[in-house]
Amino acid sequence: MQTKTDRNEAELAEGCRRADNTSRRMLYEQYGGTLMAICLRYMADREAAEDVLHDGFLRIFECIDQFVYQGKGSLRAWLCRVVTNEALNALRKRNRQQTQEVTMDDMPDMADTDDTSMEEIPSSELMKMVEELPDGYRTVFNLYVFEEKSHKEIAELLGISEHTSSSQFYRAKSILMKKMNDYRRRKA
Amino acid sequence: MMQKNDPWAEQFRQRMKGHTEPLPENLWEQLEQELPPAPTARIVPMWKRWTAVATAAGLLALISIGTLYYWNRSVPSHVAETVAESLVPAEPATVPASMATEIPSDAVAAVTLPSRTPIPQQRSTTSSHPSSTESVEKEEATKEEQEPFSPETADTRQRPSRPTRKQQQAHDRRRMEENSRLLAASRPHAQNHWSIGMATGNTFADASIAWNEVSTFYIPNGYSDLIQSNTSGSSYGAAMLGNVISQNERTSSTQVRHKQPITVGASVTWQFHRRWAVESGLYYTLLSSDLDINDLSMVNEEQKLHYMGVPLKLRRTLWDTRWLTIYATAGSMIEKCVSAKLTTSRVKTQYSTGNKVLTGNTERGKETHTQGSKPWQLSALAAAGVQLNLTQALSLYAEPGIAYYFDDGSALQTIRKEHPCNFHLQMGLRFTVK
Repeated sequence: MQTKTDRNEAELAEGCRRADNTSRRMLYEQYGGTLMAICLRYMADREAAEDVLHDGFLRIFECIDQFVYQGKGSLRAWLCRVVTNEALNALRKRNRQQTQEVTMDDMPDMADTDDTSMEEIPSSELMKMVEELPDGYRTVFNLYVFEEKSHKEIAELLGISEHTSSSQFYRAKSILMKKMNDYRRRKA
Repeated sequence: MMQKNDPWAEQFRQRMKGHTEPLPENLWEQLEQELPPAPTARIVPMWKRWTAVATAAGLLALISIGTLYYWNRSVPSHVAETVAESLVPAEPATVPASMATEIPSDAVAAVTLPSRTPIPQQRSTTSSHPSSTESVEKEEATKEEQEPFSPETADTRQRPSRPTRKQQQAHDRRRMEENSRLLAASRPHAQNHWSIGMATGNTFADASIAWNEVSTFYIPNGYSDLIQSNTSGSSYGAAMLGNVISQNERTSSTQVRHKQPITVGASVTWQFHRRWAVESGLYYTLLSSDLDINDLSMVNEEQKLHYMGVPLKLRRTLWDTRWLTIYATAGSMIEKCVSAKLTTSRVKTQYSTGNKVLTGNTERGKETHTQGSKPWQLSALAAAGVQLNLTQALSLYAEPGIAYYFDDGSALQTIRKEHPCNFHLQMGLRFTVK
């Protein structure tokens, strides 16, 4: 939901570079919600997510002079990147990477591949579903879906095999689809 | 992107794109307290403090001497001077040893008036007296006019002095006293004259600042290319770099050296009153700074800012004699940055994360950016001035004082941001043109 004009983004960044409190507050309020969503997606625990958001903002304001405005949306992208890095760091520290092998028995029925089901479910619900994913699957899912990384890149980033990455993603996807179907059935 | 092959993943991403979560309460307040307002600087004090103290003491001494002289000065000595001078046969070429100031035409007129008051038999000689008196007060402009008179003076004075010498001398004395009184009243100070000058100014401070973070001058460089997300694949490298920077932060450091600013320029002064003058001019200032980053890559930046400025100052003369003039001046200056150049030299890069080594941006070489922000700078200045009057037209001056540089609202780091209030010394030459 990009509603800011090019000039505003550049001005905002400039103000933050100057350590201007008003600009910083504006940036916080404009992008804080989006950045909090990112933290929650990765951490799944609201308290942990808030810590990551806090650290993320400190990092943002420390490193704002390294940001170069490159067109509409570049500030948002940069901010998301910084916060994502913070989240990944925090996860790494928590060290809960699960690298279990996926057995075929665990793969649920993928028959319910109704793509339109997603549209009816509010985003807050989808968010909750993502949060409920087990940690390892969730991280792979986030990196694949939201950071648009390939399984190869994810594997290198997390120190797992490419195969583990793809299977964990598919596991996550099937869990989510099952939840979505359950939700639709409850609502129906 | 691979995700084009996965419509479900793409759809999920789009679906969550605008999603926001509520922010924790009080997070902003907490951040506000934790965020530093400016880079935490440990200023290595390179103030040359002794110069400030010495100049303050010197100023005090000068001002007190000036005040003492001013109070002790009296008219009788002035009269004695002029009387002594006039008894010597007037020679037009003599440069008299009193004040080096002009007599404006009005003062000359005032002097010539008394010649009308009659001692009738000496009318022919009285007319010559003003000119002889005038020649006593040396002045360049009026001097040429007086030259034709003086031969007459010599002649006319000689002739009647034979028959009535005593009377002549008594009359002369009376004339002298009247003239000096008139002169004292009209105060032979410069009125309505203009001066131009050349000056150089210095702010006696430079600063060296170091802090344990990575920072840069106004234009970002280096890491920005990597942290940005571009089209495909590189975002992964950027994420890695982000982690790397956080891990290595403790070892990074930045050092900034602001060099002493250099100012040269020309001045114009309008003395509109005996004791008051207004000064303006045009000055060029160079602010030069160096920045070194010791971090993942070695970076050296050199910032050169060129300013052109126009001052506006009011000057009050405190004490004025032939050789020395003491005054006080205060005012402000507006400057515009006309050129801002940042030269960056970068050497090597290597990044490591955990067990893996990533080769990052291996740039090497210099880049010069012209900086976009060219701010205006306002400053205020107060100083005391000492002027050595070499000739009637030429004088040498020094103005030690204090300068305060208002924040120009830009992100530029200069010595004026680090030390806005500073001791400032301006020296130069002045020429009187009218």
